[in-house]
Amino acid sequence: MKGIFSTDVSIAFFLAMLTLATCLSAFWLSASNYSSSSKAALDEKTAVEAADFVLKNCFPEGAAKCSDSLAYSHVLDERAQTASFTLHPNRSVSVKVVGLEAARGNGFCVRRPALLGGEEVFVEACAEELR
Amino acid sequence: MKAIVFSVEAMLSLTIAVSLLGFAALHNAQPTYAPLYEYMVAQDLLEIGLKSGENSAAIAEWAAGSDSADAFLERKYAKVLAGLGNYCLELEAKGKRIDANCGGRGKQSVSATRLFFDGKNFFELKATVYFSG
Repeated sequence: MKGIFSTDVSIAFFLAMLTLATCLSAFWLSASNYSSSSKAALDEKTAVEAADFVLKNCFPEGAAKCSDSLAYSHVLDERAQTASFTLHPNRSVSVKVVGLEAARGNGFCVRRPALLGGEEVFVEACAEELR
Repeated sequence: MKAIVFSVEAMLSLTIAVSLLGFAALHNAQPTYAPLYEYMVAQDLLEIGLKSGENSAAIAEWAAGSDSADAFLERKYAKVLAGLGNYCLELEAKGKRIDANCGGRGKQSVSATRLFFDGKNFFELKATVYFSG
């Protein structure tokens, strides 16, 4: 009788330890997953917002062509071709107008098709890890 | 005997708990902005079609049944999509359809529409962008 009881307690103890170890591992995995994916999501959000802002706002804040206070979304000002837009003071994101065959910049980049002088170009926003 | 029965029961509970915790740990609950970006791209592709004189003339001709306009638009959009990534575009209007860059079509898609005026009539222009998730 005593033997059965002690076996039961030992198995219960072993299972309890196993459960605890599993919970701790799951928590550690969740935390590291969340940390890396939230960093990636932040870069993604920054780049998407920056590209949209530049595409839809008048030059020089953005790259859109404007006349009489009217912005022509997706039609870029000629001067935007050589301009570079830095929207965050810590330079975590940079936006520029690039040709269709240009190589991608550094960091997480998004490209939005637009027109410059009737030709298709991209407004490219690249976000790098925030420091 | 009693102890073994309890142990089996406990092991079953533990297995289920481990499965649930493992699933929770590996499941990425963080939202991604990718679908929003794909939707923006679909809108952009329509915008560059409508706001360029050359492209909008080609769209009007294509919708009217011109084969040369069809080839022109396919080439034009394929070039833009090549610079964007692995996207496939399906453009539809008046029952006609063109595909650009659709070698390997992704399972996910987003669609956008615009009302297009060809000088005489209005019709709906629909762009569907396919991509891999």
